[in-house]
Amino acid sequence: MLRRLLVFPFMILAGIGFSGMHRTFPWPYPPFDQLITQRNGLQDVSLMTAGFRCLAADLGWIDLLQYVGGGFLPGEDTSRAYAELKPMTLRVTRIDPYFRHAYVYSSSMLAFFRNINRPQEALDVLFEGMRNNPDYWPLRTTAAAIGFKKADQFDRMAQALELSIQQPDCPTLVKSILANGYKEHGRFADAVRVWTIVLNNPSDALYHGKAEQEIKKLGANPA
Amino acid sequence: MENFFLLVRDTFKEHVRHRLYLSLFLFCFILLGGGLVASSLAVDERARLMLDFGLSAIEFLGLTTIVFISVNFILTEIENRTIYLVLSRPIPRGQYILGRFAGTILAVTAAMAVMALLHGLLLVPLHSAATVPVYLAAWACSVAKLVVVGSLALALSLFSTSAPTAMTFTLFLWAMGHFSEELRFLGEKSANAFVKLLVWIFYHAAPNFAYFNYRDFLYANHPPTTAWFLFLLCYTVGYAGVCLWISAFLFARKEF
Repeated sequence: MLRRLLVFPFMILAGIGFSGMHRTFPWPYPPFDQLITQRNGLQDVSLMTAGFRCLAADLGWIDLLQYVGGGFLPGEDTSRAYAELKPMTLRVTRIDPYFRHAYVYSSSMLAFFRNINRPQEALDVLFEGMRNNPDYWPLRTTAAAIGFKKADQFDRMAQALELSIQQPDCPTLVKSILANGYKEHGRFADAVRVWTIVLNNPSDALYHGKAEQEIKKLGANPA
Repeated sequence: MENFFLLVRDTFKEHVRHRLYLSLFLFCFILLGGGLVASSLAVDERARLMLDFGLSAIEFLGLTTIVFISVNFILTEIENRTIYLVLSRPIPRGQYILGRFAGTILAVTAAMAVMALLHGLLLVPLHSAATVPVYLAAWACSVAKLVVVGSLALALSLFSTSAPTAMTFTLFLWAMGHFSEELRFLGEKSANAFVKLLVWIFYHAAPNFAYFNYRDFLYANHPPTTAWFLFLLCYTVGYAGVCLWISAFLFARKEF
């Protein structure tokens, strides 16, 4: 009889654990109806169903990078450069709203690349990022930089981006945008300084070759 | 108690000598190697991808192994009639279930620990942001999930008596357990009272595996607190306890 009653303490323990987990840590992800599932929806939902949410976001991130490096997707609006960049970014960030790197990377591309130049889309991505990560200030500095760019105030845009590149997880792309901006505006010493930051950062390894080239072109020796 | 530890030791040895156990490491090498290649595509986020990929691979291998072993282990012993050798001795059936389960969990956890060590060594040169305590917490949550899945698989194997059925049900509950928050959302949206009730029952009765994914939560703005870990431990012990109690109950009613 006693052995049969043994199940109740376990049930109570499971109940306490269940309610406690929910009370101390509210579910931090948006409901699944907010997912962007037009492309690769099956892949994302399958991975999430198997319990690999962040891995699904990571694979979405690789898809995005391949898109950025490779060009067009089937059925894409070809009248605009990288028309799918915003939806592909939101695909990643709706799976994992705390993928902060994706917000900064894509919004910088959308706003600062001359062949794209869609600052409004960039701000949409950033505002979603700010809503999900209110304490992550590089999103605000990137938004400010976009604002200054729209107002054609390069110096203030550069000041905002300088703050962003101090962050250890700042995308190399942002550093490259800033360095190229300095070069364009004749501030060669600043351009060399930013490329040197890239060269000295082991996590920017993919850009080391370009950084060395740029430093040589700008007439300085790599540090 | 001595019998219990003997059972645990024998089960552990039996699993470690099994071919499946060795192939687990082979798959781990392949997956982690694949992770290294895939992570190189992630450019700036290589360390994050390698961390997620490795932890997911370790969990996936651990869970598939535990499901396969837990479902087949006792059923095979019954089929081969080797179970008579054990049960002819003065060992209570509940103790037999508990000993076998503990030995299995120990063996798979040991494999997961070796895989985690290997993964950790790969993460060091990538300058991963995850500290050792954070990594260990994520790994421990995967082990907790393994305990719940293993106990569930064991209960289902004794309930259904067919290994494929038990495996299918376990995998179904595994998937639904990761979808429980979405199910709750669906239930809240439904206007039908019956659907609401059904979803409510399922949400509370099925294991909520989504809450074991600390490896996902560590990126959140406010990661779980120490109290959360204690509640997770309560949930793991409670849920696995209920499943093991059901297993012992079903096993006690079996006639050999």
